Amino acid sequence: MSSVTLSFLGRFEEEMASNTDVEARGEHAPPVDRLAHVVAGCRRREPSAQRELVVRTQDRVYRTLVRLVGMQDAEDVAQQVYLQVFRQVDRFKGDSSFGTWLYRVTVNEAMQHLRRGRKRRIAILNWEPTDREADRCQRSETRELLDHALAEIEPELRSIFVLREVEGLSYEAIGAAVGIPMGTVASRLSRARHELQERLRSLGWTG
Amino acid sequence: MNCNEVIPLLSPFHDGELAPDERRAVADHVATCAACSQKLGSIRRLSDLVESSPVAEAPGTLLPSIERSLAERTPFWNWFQFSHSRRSAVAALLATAAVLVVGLMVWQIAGAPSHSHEEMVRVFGEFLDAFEEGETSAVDVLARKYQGTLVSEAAATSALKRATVARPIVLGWHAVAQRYLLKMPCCDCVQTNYAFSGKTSFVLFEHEKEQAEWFHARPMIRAECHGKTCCLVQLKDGLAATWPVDGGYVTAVGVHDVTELERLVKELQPL
Repeated sequence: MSSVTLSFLGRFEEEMASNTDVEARGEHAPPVDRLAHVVAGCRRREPSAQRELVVRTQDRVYRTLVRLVGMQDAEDVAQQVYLQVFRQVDRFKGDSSFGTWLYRVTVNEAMQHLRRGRKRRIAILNWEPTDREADRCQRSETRELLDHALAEIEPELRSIFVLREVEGLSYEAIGAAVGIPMGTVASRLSRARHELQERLRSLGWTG
Repeated sequence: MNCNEVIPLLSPFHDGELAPDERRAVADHVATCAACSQKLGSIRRLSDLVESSPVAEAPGTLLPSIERSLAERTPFWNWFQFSHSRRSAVAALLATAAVLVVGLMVWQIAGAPSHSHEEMVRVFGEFLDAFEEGETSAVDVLARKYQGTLVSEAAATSALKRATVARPIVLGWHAVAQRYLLKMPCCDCVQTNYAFSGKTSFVLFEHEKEQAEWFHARPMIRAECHGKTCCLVQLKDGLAATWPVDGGYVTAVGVHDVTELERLVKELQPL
């Protein structure tokens, strides 16, 4: 197993260990034990454990979802992810790391959301800035470019690209999270990059 | 290796996912092939592009919304998953809860003030409606309902337990007309009415937690501004928005447009 994979498997455990509140309370449980403790608490439907799991993992889940389904829907889908996690936590047998399992649930929920083509609950404001340069409240130009291009490629390619480039997962970890062989991860990622580059260039990217 | 063999390997090469011998072969080829070197450079620049466009942190409303959904959806069958001893403990808790519920009902019937969340959303909706219609009394709707008392900047800071960001003058010309402390169901909230040329221009609320739900069913979008996630709602003539500041949140109602909002978000940072 590569060091990248080890890093991924330990990511959530590292996050568990990095919480200063826990340290402040004098709880110096090893990170893996802490994660196991939180997951066990979630199995018992303990609100404090559910809360802790959300607090420690929400930024990672939200960030992934913003890239997969867009900022407007990311919060709604993140909510569905955690409801699924708490509903299905008994099915997590520890065959993979909890991080892998959480990414799997996250990607599954995102894919379902995209397949449903659910209409956005929110409406787009019908106001348009007249001066694009002055519209600094919008995302940066770079960010806009990337969001546009990502939205145009197939969701299956997008998910692989996001797990690699945004979350930094290894091919093995991506394969485990998405349920495909490593060879397929490699070929899809190569295709995702190629399609993204083409779309970005059509939007004026000079990379 | 020739170009046709190397090109499919450039992506895993960039990711450090090739076996050592393949990695060496690709590196040797790229060192002498301008076309493949350019393709690899493009893959690297794509990674740089992703790295240079980070995503904001999860919004503060996510955890409360999950907790609310869990509370609403906790299935009855969970009860049967518990052991006998746990069932006994839960039964005792339920009995205690039942007594508390009955007690609460009696307390409410006895005339305790109603501070329901739904009522809060309704009252805030009345304020927004009145504000949109340009009613001069709109700025007093919440003060009337929630025991609004006029307070100084220092008193507002004391009530919020953090420095108020509603300074006497903002956006160059808008001056504080009134500053109320409201005893809202959710929290103590400071409402600052700003005026320009003698007319109310916008209203600023400072509170502890994000209250995007104050906007209820009004269409809203989230957008990033100065690294903060802002929740925006379009009003009849202007915008309302809520965003985090150090130690709490602010909600502005009546901001003219997105350019003005951007200036406000930037300006309303703690000193």
